[in-house]
Amino acid sequence: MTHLEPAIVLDRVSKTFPGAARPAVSECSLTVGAGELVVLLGSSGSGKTTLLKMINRLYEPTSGTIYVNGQDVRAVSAVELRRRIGYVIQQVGLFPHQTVAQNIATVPRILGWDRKRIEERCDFLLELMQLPPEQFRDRRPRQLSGGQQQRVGIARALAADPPILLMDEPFGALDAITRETLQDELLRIQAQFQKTILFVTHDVDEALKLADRIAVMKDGRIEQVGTAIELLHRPATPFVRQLLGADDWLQRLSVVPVRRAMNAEPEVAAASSAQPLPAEASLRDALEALLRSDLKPVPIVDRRGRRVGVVRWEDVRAAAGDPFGQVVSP
Amino acid sequence: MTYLAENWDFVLELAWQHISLAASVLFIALALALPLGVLLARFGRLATPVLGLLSVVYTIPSMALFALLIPVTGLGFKTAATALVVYSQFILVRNTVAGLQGVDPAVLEAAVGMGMSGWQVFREVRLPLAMPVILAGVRVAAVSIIGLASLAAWINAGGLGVLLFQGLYQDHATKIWTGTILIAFIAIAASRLLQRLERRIRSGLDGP
Ligand SMILES: Nc1ncnc2c1ncn2[C@@H]1O[C@H](COP(=O)(O)OP(=O)(O)OP(=O)(O)O)[C@@H](O)[C@H]1O
Ligand SMILES: [Mg+2]
Repeated sequence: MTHLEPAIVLDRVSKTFPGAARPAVSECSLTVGAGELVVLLGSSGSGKTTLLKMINRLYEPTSGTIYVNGQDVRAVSAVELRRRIGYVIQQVGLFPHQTVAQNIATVPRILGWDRKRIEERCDFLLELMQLPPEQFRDRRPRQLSGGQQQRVGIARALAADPPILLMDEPFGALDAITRETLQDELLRIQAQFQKTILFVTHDVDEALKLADRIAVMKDGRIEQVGTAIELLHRPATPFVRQLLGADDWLQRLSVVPVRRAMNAEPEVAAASSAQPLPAEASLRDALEALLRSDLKPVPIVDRRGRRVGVVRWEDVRAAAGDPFGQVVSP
Repeated sequence: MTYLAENWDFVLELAWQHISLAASVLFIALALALPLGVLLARFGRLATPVLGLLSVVYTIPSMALFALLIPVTGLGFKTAATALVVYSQFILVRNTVAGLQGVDPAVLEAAVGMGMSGWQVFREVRLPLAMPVILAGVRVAAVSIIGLASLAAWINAGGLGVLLFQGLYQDHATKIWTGTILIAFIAIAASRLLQRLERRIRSGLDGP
């Protein structure tokens, strides 16, 4: 997906808050391809939110340059820029005095869409977020559960169909089950509409599950950028290794989708006699399937049942990282 | 009761004077306090000294404030109105500042982050969310203005206070009772009205 032209480019971006001893964000460079979902992963205070807010100019960098769709963000008015970038903030921040529909309509209204178009869009987004419009349209944020509020927050960010989404721990305060449901929905939306998404989280499993690529942040710096498999297989620093918890590899494998390790070889898949695996399955499922097939390549089928590729023993072993590689060598 | 029956037109006129004095004071006071409150909420560093000053003014007894103003504005409506306007600034400005500053920062950040202009954020988000607190201030101010407007009679500015002072000087208990009950009635009515408005806006915020 990175072969597409970059949607967001950060070029040695730093931010030191006035009076702060050290920069909150330091010399960060990162390129997010159009249609790519990149996760900023790091512990609390590592500068994720600060980095995100510089992209829509809620903060101005102390040094460095940010380009959105090839344009220096300082060259456009902040207000214009923000209307083209969907933003889901860490604390949801729905307008309590407005209905769900009015909340979602915020940006389209500013952009001067006509009423009918706004209403249609609003209902469409509520359906998309699996909130039946006739039931939720006229409710107030206070009448929604935490998970429903976060869905509305996402719908509001998607309202004017922005090509880019910035999401700051959008599933932060949710129970594990709701969280997983919303993660699945986000992946579905991403697959359907090819949004460019920069997604902040401190949850490693969430990052592994969602990301096309992960940027690991520590103390304001980006320690490593890579796919889940790359990070698990070749952590660049001890911090990355520790963060991804190499000793907890079986758990890690159970959240990484198998399609990230898939080889797009339909012919091999077609020829394989092993039991096929759906693309949404995890690497752990793949590991099981491989063991059952006697380590022969396992075919992967997409939603429509087509055999789109295979996963091999090497792929899963790579994702399991070094410790596993040292212990077992078939 | 015979007093009221014989003088109802006089009492009614005093009541009307009372209401119109209080209403114009409230109107002028709001016209000053709202912009001032918005300004102070915007430039937070000014808020503490200005509110401090207003709170000092607030502690001056109203009689003393009248006395201070008489050399400047003379006896009558102007002095009474000025004193009451000055007096009510503290409550109105304080609540306006508190209301505007009390809006959840996350909500404001979402508004700005989605690309609302400064004016849109103020008009569509900050002000409506501050409204219940501002209105609560208006209610307290209105009630105290209605009460204090009784003192206006002391400087020939009319109102139901006339009945109170006449009653005191003439030892006429009925006049005092009539005045007191009417003033209380007006204050309660105003408070109820504003409370209903406040509740309407709040229910808009909180949902039914
Ligand atoms: N507005 C601000 N003014 C001053 N310092 C700030 C500001 N915002 C953040 N910081 C500091 O910058 C550093 C990075 O904060 P940031 O909010 O970007 O972290 P984060 O990675 O998003 O953390 P979390 O996971 O807790 O949200 C922290 O040390 C924080 O105290
Ligand atoms: Mg944060």
